[in-house]
Amino acid sequence: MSVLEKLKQSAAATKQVVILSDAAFFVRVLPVPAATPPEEVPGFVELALEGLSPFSVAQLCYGYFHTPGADRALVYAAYRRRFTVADAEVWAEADAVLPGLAVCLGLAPAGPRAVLLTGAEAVTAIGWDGRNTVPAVVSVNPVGADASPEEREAAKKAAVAALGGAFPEPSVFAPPAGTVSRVGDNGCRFVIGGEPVSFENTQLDTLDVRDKAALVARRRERTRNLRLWQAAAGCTALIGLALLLQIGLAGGRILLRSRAALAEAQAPAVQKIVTKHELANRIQELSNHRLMPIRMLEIVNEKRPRTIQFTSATTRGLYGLEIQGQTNATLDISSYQAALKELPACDHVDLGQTADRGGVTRFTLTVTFRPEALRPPPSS
Amino acid sequence: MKSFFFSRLLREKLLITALLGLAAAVWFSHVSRSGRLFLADWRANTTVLKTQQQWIDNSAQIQVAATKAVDHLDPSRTFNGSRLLGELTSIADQVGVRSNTSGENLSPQTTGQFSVNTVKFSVRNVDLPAILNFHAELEKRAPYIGLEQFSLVANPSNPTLLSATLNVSSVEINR
Repeated sequence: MSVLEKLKQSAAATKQVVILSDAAFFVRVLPVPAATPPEEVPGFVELALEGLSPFSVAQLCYGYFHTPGADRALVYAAYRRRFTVADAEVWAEADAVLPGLAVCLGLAPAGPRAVLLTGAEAVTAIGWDGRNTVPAVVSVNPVGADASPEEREAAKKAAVAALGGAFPEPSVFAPPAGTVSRVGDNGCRFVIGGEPVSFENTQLDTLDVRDKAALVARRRERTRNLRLWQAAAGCTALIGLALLLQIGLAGGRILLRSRAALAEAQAPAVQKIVTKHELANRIQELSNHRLMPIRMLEIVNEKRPRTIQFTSATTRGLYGLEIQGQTNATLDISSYQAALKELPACDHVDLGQTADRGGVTRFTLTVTFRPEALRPPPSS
Repeated sequence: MKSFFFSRLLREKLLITALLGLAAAVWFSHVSRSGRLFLADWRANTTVLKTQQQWIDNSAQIQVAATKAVDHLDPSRTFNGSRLLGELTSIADQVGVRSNTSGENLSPQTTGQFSVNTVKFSVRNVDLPAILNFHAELEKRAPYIGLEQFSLVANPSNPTLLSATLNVSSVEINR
């Protein structure tokens, strides 16, 4: 059994079921038309009880057992006044109130079977014919609480006789002892004669002898409480997860601090390597890629119209030259740009800001040269 | 725990659930915000460490490249900052523009093995041939002295006079 199952069981063990003596009830097996939908079975049972009992349904404590598709239902009822106010108080706290025979109904054998339930105040015989899970015969034989063994034996014989000869030898069980049974969220589990018997909550509600309207209210309350509990448990789980994440983050921060310290410790050595790399590249550039400003000026001067004068020239990197010039023939600027573009030494020519004042147009031209056009002569 | 919860009154159950929900929401949002910050810090730190590791892994190669870069240079012909400035003034003297010049050392870049020194040198109000001569003399000293930037401006009042500003660098091998 897993730890989870154990925890689940221990949490469920606190619920209570009150087991009543069968002697207080009259029991009938009623034929149910095969086509009766499940939602109409309670009405059918109430109608049948109205006919069977001299009391109205409101004055009865009753329950029934029916499974979907079964062609009969087992009904048991007791006059409400047979139970005291003290009983009602105990019942209010209980999760289910059942006669002892109702517990045996969960045995639901696949084949014919008979059970003899020997209680302090009654001997109950239950017989299944194997056609469906609802017993075919149920006989309750009351005995006095102070009855002699002979009287009890006689009640047993009467109960067996009530079963008739159609059933195998009955198993003899004592009614479930005590009022505490293991009950899960979705039902009850009893052990009777060493055999586990389980009921779901919907089944328990029909078996329960308490007022049905009160049971519906209890069911609603139970569902609401369960939802609230699930919400509270979910929130608690989230808090737990947040706590775990917080602990994980704290651990992660410690690790991050050590990594940051490592990065800080390595930084000066790495900076030295970077500087060495940059300087090596710079020396390579100084040695192999010389800046040739005069050659650049010679190239751009070849196509310069006489109307254009250069006012400044500044290198931009190894292969760029920014020229600022002026002219009083504005149209010559674009023809000069076009002429430069046609030069094989020029990669591209961009005309920048152009401004005209007092008949003189000032402009900026950025020329990018092809590297092969500026290759230096071999050094000695 | 469950039985304790079930035994409470409805309003207590609602209150407990609401408080737990609030605590979970506040804490979880705080943790998720901290988590996002942590992840960002972690990624940044990982990038820094990775980059550093790449530099460290390549340090041997960089050392070889650095050695190779200065291998063909004669240490005795390299220039430190002051020698570079002296050399430039000497060239200016040689081409006859000494009185029109000014120069200043810029901060050098240094490793244990070598340094690159840079001087910003200006020649003002001289004619074009003087500039060309100065440049030609400078070219003769390559690769020990190299031109890194060149700017030429014509005098507005007399366009035949030019001013040149040069960033000149030299390699110094520390052996």
